Amino acid sequence: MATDFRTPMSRVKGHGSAGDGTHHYIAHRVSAIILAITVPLLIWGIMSAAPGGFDGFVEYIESTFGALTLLTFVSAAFFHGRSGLTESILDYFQGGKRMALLLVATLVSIGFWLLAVLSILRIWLGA
Amino acid sequence: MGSNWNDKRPMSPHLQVWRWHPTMLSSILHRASGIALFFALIKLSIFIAVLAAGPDVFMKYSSLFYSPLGVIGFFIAVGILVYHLMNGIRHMIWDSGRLLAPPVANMMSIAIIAAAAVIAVILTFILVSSVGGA
Repeated sequence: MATDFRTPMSRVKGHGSAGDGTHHYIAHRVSAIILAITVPLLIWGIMSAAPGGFDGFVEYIESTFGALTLLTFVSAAFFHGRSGLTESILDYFQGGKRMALLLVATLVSIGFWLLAVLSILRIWLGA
Repeated sequence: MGSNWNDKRPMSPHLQVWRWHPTMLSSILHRASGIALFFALIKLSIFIAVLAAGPDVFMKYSSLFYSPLGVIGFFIAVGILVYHLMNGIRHMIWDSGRLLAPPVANMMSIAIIAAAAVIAVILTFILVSSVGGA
């Protein structure tokens, strides 16, 4: 019995999976699970800090729980966001535009992730 | 895009071949909310940086954060965040092979959109009343 079920026509048309999606699929879902846990904590944290203004927010980030929640959230979120943007860019652009957008998505993600992490550490450890 | 498109794989979503239905709407909204949330995440990073810059810098912008514009921003951000979160959880349930029957999936699409709107209204109401009463 044949082990390859693809017809010659399917090979000519060239449709089918790209063959490299498994890693992306798993990484996207692992970061999604981390976000599903941290997002409710983040919303709760922001909402309870907001009435206190500057002091309220700083107090939240100075607490170990608040700082760790935020650090975990922004790291998982920028990873997940870049992963999702990559998927959308691959779906609608190609060639030079695709390369440029992928590069921008990566650099913006790393840059703002660094800004967030350094700011959180400055408030948390500088307290 | 268009006639320059020479990737061998088809482009999605296939707007020309699908008639409108709720799961299509929730799929498009999931992608749109995901992209919007990336920009909200950048704004959150800037907000934390403003906090880290100290009280003087924060006070310069605090009238913006605590304005009607800030409330609208919170409402939109929390609404699309809650939508994306709930629909994302459904995606993982879908991955396990459950809830895929079209009538169930269509009904849940509407339910998730409605629930996200209700939760966003409730959270915004709680926020406004707690900040106003402080």
